[in-house]
Amino acid sequence: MKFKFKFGEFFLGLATLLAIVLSIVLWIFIMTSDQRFSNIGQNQNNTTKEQARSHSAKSLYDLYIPTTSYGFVDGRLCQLYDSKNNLTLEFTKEIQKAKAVSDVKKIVKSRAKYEEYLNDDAYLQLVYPDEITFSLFNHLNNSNNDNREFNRFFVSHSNNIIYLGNDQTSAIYRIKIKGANFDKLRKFARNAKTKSPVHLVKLQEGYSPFYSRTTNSQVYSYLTNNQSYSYFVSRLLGTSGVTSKTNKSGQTIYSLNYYTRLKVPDPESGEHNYLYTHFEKNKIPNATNRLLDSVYYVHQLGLTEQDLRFFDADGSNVGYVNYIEGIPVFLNQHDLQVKTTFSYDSINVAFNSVNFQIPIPFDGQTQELKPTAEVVSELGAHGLKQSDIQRIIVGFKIEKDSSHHSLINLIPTYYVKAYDEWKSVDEWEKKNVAPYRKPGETVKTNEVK
Amino acid sequence: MDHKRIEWLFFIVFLLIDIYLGIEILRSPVNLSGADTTTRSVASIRSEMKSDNIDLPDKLSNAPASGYYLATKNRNYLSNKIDALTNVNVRYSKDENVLYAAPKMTTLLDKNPKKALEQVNKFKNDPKNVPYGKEFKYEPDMSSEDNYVFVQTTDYGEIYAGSAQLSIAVKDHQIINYAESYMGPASPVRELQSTISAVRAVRAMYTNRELTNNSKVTQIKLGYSKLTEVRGSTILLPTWLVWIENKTTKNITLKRVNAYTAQMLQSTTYNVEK
Repeated sequence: MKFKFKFGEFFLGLATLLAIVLSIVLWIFIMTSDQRFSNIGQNQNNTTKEQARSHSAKSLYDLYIPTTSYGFVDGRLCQLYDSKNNLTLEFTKEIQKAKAVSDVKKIVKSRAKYEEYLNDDAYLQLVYPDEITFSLFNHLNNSNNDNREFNRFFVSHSNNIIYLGNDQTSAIYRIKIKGANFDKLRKFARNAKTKSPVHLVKLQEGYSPFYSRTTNSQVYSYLTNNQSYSYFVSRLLGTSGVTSKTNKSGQTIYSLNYYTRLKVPDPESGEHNYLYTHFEKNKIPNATNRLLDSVYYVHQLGLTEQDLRFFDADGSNVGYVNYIEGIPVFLNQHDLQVKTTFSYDSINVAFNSVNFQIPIPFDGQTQELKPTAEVVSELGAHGLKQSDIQRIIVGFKIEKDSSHHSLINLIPTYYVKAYDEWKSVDEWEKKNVAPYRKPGETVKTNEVK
Repeated sequence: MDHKRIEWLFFIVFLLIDIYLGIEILRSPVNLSGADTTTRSVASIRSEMKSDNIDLPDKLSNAPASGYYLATKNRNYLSNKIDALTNVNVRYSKDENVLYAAPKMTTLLDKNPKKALEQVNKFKNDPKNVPYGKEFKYEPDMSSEDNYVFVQTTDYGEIYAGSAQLSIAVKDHQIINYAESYMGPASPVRELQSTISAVRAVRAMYTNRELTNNSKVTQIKLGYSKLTEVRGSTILLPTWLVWIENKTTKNITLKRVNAYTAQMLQSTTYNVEK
């Protein structure tokens, strides 16, 4: 009886202690929960950086859609496009549902084997304009810190296996998946309205499509508009404590607490280029977090994101452009819509406020595009060798239409990335490339047979 | 108070604190700013709206949809069809681009609403009665007992615009007359693109104060609305159409949300009388 009494006292003491410890643990959990405090003071359309890094932002898949699709027609590789059945959108819908059921397994590491996959008519290929990391879409990867990169999906006949390729390293990875069904995608690919024969040529930054024939590409027109500078000042800096200073060239710099500023163009200049800078001593984030953080900054800007897609990433930069009918739009000759630059002491976001608001029905205007090899050879004659070229693509150049002040025409033209700069072929042909070249710098290029 | 009682008191107090903290953790914090469309946000928006006495439909999709920018050529499609309308007396208003007609023969409609609708559909589908009638689809959310409203259909979805509508007036179980406007065939001017979800559209309306307190969202659908006219064409874009009932007056209002950008289309808001 005495023993039972002591046991009860001991049990009560232990339970009280546990209750006290539990309440401390729960209190600490609540006070350190980002979920509870991260939203304070944020604008309604913004996702926080933490949300972006936790991959929870819905629009991650809107910005990171593959932009080009390839398939085989009578054994020949073709770039596929169909405006009615958007192939890349269909692929994205399905890949979002996919869950990895195995670890990522590297199955190819040689260029010869990689090119076998590129030329294998068993696969549809969905391609990003530049490499993204495995960890960006964490449902395809069981590890959150996998910064290995890929830029190409190979969709096989099976819905349970997907292959991811990296053009630069010639690596192909296999992932077993469940939950995705690519049958509709395969059907869309078979019946795609535009099938342009291409061959893939390895340049400095991967395989670029070389169009075999002269093509007449459509010229699209848009009514555009621009948000006012006050919209961006209010979104990026808030409405209180903001100071401004206008320099001689008419640009105004709005600042908040020394750490954040926004450079606004002169309203009279007709320019729409802004530069947002946030000073912060920090390590440059890893590749995945650079991509995710740039998504956060894109959302912060409040631009229309309907056509905005990931376009280019090198080192500390991540760039986004608008894609119209599968073709990237360059602004002011060769600018990207948004370019985020990460450095040790600041984050810079250069952006243009133009919004492609209303599409105008196609009026039959086309632009002739030469075969890509011919363009490359012309550039070579002007001093820009194929080995200097990092990428070559067809992009839209903007031309103002005289019939309406906000009407613009999108003219298809070749754009080339060389020496880390994007320029149209016309610009490169007028440029003296000699100062760019370093002595002894050569890169082998070979066509995929 | 002896030692044992103090211990019991401590135990009960801390147990209650634990229960309170546990409930706090389980309760989803009210998210005033997140733009994600997770289940948590659906629950959150529902609870916010509930406190404002705003009711939402039980099933509200969280999945993004897709749609096109469409264009129709601005032409007088209906005036060319007048000669074929042998069963009705016709008047065409060129200014409004609307065809008004009244049946020459009386058609008695069944008292059963389902059968009456079938009869009205049969009347509408006869090219001697209504031009392009088969391209119109009954819209119950815009109709009433004495007015059957049909919206123009396309290969890509329905158009919800005053210039693409057929209204058949009924009185004493007889078709009295109808008014029809028609925008012609629509074709995409841009590729298929993804749109926001229905949940995100409702959220956008709520944060833009387009959902007033003490109201009920009765229906939400994806349909095409007029954006603008340019170069002799009308541009249409996908919109979430949201029917809102005022719980006091029972008036129903149709509001539209741009399904690409989540912005309100203010100019096209109009009242629907039931």
